[in-house]
Amino acid sequence: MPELTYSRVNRDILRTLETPGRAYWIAVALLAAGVVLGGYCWWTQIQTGMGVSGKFIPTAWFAYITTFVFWVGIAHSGTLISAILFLFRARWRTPVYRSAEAMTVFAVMTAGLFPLIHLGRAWQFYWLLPYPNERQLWPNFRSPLLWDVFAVTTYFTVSAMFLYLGLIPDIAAARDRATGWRRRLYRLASLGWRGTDTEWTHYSSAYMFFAAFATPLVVSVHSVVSWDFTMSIVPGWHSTIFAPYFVAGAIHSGLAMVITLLIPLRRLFRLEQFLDTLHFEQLARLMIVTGLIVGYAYGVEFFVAWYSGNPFELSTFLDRAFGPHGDLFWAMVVFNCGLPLLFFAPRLRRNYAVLLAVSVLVNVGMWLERFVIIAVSLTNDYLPAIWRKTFHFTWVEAGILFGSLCWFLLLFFLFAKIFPTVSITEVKEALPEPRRTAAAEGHA
Amino acid sequence: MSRTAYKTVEEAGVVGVFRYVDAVVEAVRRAREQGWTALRVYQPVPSHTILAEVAPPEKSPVRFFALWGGVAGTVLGFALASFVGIKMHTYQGLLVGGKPPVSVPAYIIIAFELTVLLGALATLAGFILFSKLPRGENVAGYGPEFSEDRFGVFIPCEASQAEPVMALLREAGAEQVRFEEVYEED
Repeated sequence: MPELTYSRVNRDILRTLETPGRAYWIAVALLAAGVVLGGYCWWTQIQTGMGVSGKFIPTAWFAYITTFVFWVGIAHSGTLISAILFLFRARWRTPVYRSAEAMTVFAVMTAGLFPLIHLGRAWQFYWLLPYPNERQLWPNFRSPLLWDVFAVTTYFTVSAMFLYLGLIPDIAAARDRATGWRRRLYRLASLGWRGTDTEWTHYSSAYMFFAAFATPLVVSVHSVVSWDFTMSIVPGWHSTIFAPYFVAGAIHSGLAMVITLLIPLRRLFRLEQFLDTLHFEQLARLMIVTGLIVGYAYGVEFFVAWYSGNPFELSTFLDRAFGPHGDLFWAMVVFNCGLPLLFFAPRLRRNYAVLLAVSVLVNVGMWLERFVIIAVSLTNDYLPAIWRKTFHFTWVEAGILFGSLCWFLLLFFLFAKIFPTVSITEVKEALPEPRRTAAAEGHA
Repeated sequence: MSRTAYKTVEEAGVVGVFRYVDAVVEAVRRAREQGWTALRVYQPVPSHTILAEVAPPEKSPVRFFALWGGVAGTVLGFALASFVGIKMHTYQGLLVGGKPPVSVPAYIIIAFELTVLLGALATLAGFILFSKLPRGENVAGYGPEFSEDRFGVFIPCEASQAEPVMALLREAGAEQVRFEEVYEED
């Protein structure tokens, strides 16, 4: 493989923005069709009423809130990779972080749809915002649902700004070689960046502060989401380990989604020289860690339920594992905790087919985890008279969930053809600086 | 007569195009020794070797924006939640959830999120302000090679002073030197 130079990095990464082939457009068309289908289902729900969604009491949260938590979780590894690993100076993150950051922003945008869909009367979403109504009543600042509004909107805003800040020098590089509408777009988006010493000084400082702000934020967001559950007294929810347990799970699912997206991206955009086996191995190693933490949390939950002596708590957990939905619970355990252990074998974590298969199944497992926590706990409330042990997805719900996946992938596909998915600046920074002395010795 | 001849010159100077970082450092040192202190360097990546030579020794003031943005967020978060709690309790007689009007543990979350939000917004604003962005195309000496693999040392000077400056940059190792003027936009 030829040695990487600044010029080659520019050329190879900007090449990914060239006019796409037929396969890309077919994929975009299929994803757009999926989004239209999801939109139609949502429209049907608005027109007909929430009855078509298959919601019932006591498990009204089962599909949409499960999926909301799932997408917020997916958003987490982006900031882990871009901010936390930046602060720890983990250089292997360089070619991976841009895709992970973009994934974060699009996952939060997808997650943000679900409270609105769940709301029913989606056009009254602004009631969530902190301002008084005509009777001077404000939203309740002690409510976890309002904390969620603050946490998720802050996360979206900060992640989007962080992504944009990192993109500015790369957009300028694209601007200098683009023509037509792309040049106009890049001129506008690069803000006239020229890469002067003053600009780089302030940029480096701002980037570091963004990483410092984003690091506690990423921990806070899924903690706050977990408090949506723990602040209630529903058995199976009211637990102090939820915050770290949710954060670890979120990073676990996010890493799985990064691998799921990067393996095809690497092949489609011919980014093999930037994204090599080492990067995927490091992601796989991180997944072993997060998988073990998640497995430990599953175990501790059962221990606490037994040790508490609370019969309601114990009954809920036994129902999770051995009740009518025990199959989902065990699938979740195998997918989230068992499969990542395969990555202890170097041969398996270097095999792209295994990596992709495991990461897809971990994504399925993480959705199941939220389903088991939310839906199964709600079936087993304090009032046996309202217990209802069966769930059924209606076509409207299934269409909306499928549409949300297409929406997320469509945003990512469009982004990948408009903006560089590998950071030009940081890949160049990782190369040795060109020096006369090195050139004279034949190294540059 | 050329289109630009009757326009006001906004900025003029000589730019040297360099391939190597150590040559840039040498050019900057030589220029400063000869009194050309108001120079700037275009870089495709933030070279710490160059920044240590060129950038002012004090740290970027963006850090104050980060600090005060964060402090403002903390204060605003507590103030907003406490104001609402006190107002609802005192003027409307509502004790929401049986909790005190100022429920500090709950409000820490609001304050924390606003700390991060306002801190990040202020950081971005500070970066844009101090980097003098957004700016138009009117930048003397800039070329597309500076976003690829070359470094540029730009020394502002008048046309009559250009020759010695060009010589200085060539001696330091510039591959190419050119005098450029940009004009005020209509």
